[in-house]
Amino acid sequence: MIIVPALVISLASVWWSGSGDAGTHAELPVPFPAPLTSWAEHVETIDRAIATHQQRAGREPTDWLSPSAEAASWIDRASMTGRWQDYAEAERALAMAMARAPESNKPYPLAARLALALHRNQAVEPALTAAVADRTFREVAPQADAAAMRGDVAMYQGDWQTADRLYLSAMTASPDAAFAMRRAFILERTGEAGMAHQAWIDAAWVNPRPTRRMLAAIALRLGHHDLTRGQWSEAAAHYADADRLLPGDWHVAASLLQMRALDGDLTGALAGMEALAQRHDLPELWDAVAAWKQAAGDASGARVALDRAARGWHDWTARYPEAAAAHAADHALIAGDRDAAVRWAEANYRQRPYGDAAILLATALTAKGDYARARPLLTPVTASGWRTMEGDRLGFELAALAGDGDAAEAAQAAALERNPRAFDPAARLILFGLH
Amino acid sequence: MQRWPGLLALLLLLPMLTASAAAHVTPNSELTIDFRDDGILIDVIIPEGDYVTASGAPGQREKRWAAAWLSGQVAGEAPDGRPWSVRVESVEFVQRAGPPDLHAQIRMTPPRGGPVRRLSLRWDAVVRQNPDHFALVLVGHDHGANVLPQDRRLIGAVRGEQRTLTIDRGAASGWAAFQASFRLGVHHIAEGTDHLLFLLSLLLPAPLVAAGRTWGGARTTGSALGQLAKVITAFTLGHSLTLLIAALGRWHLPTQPVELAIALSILVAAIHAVRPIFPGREAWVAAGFGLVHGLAFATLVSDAGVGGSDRLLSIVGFNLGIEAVQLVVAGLAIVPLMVLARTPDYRWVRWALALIAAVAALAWIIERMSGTANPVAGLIMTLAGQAPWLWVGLVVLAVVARMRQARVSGSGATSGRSPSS
Repeated sequence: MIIVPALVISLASVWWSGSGDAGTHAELPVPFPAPLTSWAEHVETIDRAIATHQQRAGREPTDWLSPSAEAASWIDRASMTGRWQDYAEAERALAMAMARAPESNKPYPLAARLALALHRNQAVEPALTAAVADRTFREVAPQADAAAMRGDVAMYQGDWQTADRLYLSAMTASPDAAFAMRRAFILERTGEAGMAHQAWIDAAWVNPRPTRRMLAAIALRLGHHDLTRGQWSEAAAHYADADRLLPGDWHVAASLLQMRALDGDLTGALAGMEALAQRHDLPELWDAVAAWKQAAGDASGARVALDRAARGWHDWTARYPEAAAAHAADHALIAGDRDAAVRWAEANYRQRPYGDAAILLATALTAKGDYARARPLLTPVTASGWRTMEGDRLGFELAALAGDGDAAEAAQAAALERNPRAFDPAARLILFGLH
Repeated sequence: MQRWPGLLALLLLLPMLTASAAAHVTPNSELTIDFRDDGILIDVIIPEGDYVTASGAPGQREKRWAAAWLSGQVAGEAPDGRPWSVRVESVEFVQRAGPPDLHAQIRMTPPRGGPVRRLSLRWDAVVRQNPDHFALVLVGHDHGANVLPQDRRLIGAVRGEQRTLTIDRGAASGWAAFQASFRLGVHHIAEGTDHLLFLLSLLLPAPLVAAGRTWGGARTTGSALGQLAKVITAFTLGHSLTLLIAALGRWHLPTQPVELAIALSILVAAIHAVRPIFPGREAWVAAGFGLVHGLAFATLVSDAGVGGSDRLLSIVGFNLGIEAVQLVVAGLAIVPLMVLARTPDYRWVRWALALIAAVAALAWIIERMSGTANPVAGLIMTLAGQAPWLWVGLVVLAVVARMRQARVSGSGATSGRSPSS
């Protein structure tokens, strides 16, 4: 009587633990079974939801819930596709929802989310202040969400300590992987490598029903973490996990191609990246093609790719300059337009004066030869505990350029301690996973 | 050569030996400067891919083309504006770690009367063509500032529009040069397995008295120490003489015959350790072969670019560095040898050690005559790397042999006699 159920349960648990995820790191949980198993299926599902919300909004002029849901779907879509056009649709739908919604029920939390996504930090707090608890959407835990968003604003203002406190309060109020991942990101920048790694793992176990998409995002972040610590084979393994969890995600595909380049197969990686860029037509992918073609000595091919990227960034920056500023600076650096790189990096830093933005601005200033301005930018960043691979390398370079041999050697030693491959010649090919 | 850190020597000399070495770990160029008495020698490393892109090199690894291109990418200027002369001495394409590099040596000479230690160095290679590329500039060897190759120090970098580096090494210090030379001497002899093996081979029979064509009983302690002092002093006088003369005279002797003669000296000393072939004349033999060893030391001093008014002081420092290590090594070795010499076991120990020395000598002779690496020589170098453990083993052997002898003596057998060979 006992044996049969026990056998069934045992077999079921074996099936559960092994279902469709052979080879996934044992540290991550098994995703909750769901029909959506690929990136394309997720996007298609979002598209169907958008169509449904649009139909409903079209039928009923006073319906504000449908355009709100549509805006949320477009934001979700944009996070998957990386297309600014999706954010534009989200803005349109949100404007419709705002216009239709009664005063006591306007979708301010959604407005705050969109403002954050578009790097319009100054618009977040007013939206949160005006927000009311919206009981229509189950997935929203208003106070925890608000705390997390305030934490995001604090982090991008350079106050990562306040950000961490706010994320912790959000986790306490409503445990969610999204809040745990934010804390893991801060640990990655400011903490010890092992703690950061564990924080990403812990984030994966917060939600009782982890989705493939969430686990793939964490696997991707684990890969980025390993990459910037010089553990390239571990990074490749995590990216492979992410690809198994959510095949077709362009972020993951780009990272996998990057590992191929780091492994010495730049030709193969380039071919793959060109195909990926053709498929998604995203400017950051064309920038990667350009940078790798430069590394391969194909200057004319790099120019063609840069032109494709420039067209994309032109549209981005025209519509959403705050959101595109950092990307535009990266593009300008690859293109060799140092003045533009400094302009965009300064705009990005004005909008979000946090560690990564300071390092990007210091990088642009160094490229322009303005070492005197670059070096003082890095000092407070490092002093605050915020460290990245690029910051470490730049610190060494600036000290060497200043003729400060002692500081340069100390910076070099610190960089290598954190990442033994910080100065590997192949590391110049790393474009994804640095932020 | 395999390093053999003389334990006590290094402990005593530790304050002078502190080194910080930086490897070529960056994806950019590196210029390592060796300051000499007549100019500078720059060791250049440029990633080959960057070189090809920047230079537009026509063919695959064309060394002459690369040398011609490089010579136009570097310039030096004295404080009064006069230019330094530039000569690219060698170019090769090598792959040591990571992607392949262009590796070159550039010699630069100041204008007549111009200072060697002060210049504006302009470096354009790749940096001018690729504004994102930067070149690290390091001091690899500056005798007058007590900087040896193992102390390589970063002094600056060039990038983008900032392609000129002002270098001022200050006045050379005689005391710093002396310290550097002393350290160089310690470093060279500590790595000089062949020099030390010759000395040790001479020490093997030092605790014994020759009896006809064999080695007889053990000397008294005083006599053994006296013999040791004579041999070391003679060797020191011999190599000091040729070191001084050759180094001061800036002799540049062919390396191969000198190295062969050194290997031969070890073979002779090893044979003598088994059967006395020049009993009572060890000091003369040590002095004679010391002259040969001194020529090898002199080559190193010349290669180190030591010169100027500090040359004599530097040579003395180098010699003292050699002596310091020799004394420590000899002192460490003679004690267990003297203990063993009073036991019957010393015969086979002496024969075994002499055999090792002879095999090493023959391997080096073959290697140095043929110019190809010899696996036996390689094995000897590996063993030399374990010298501290070998010494511990010798000490343990001496203690065990002595204890055995004491036990045998206690049971009525005769003691204090070493067997004849």
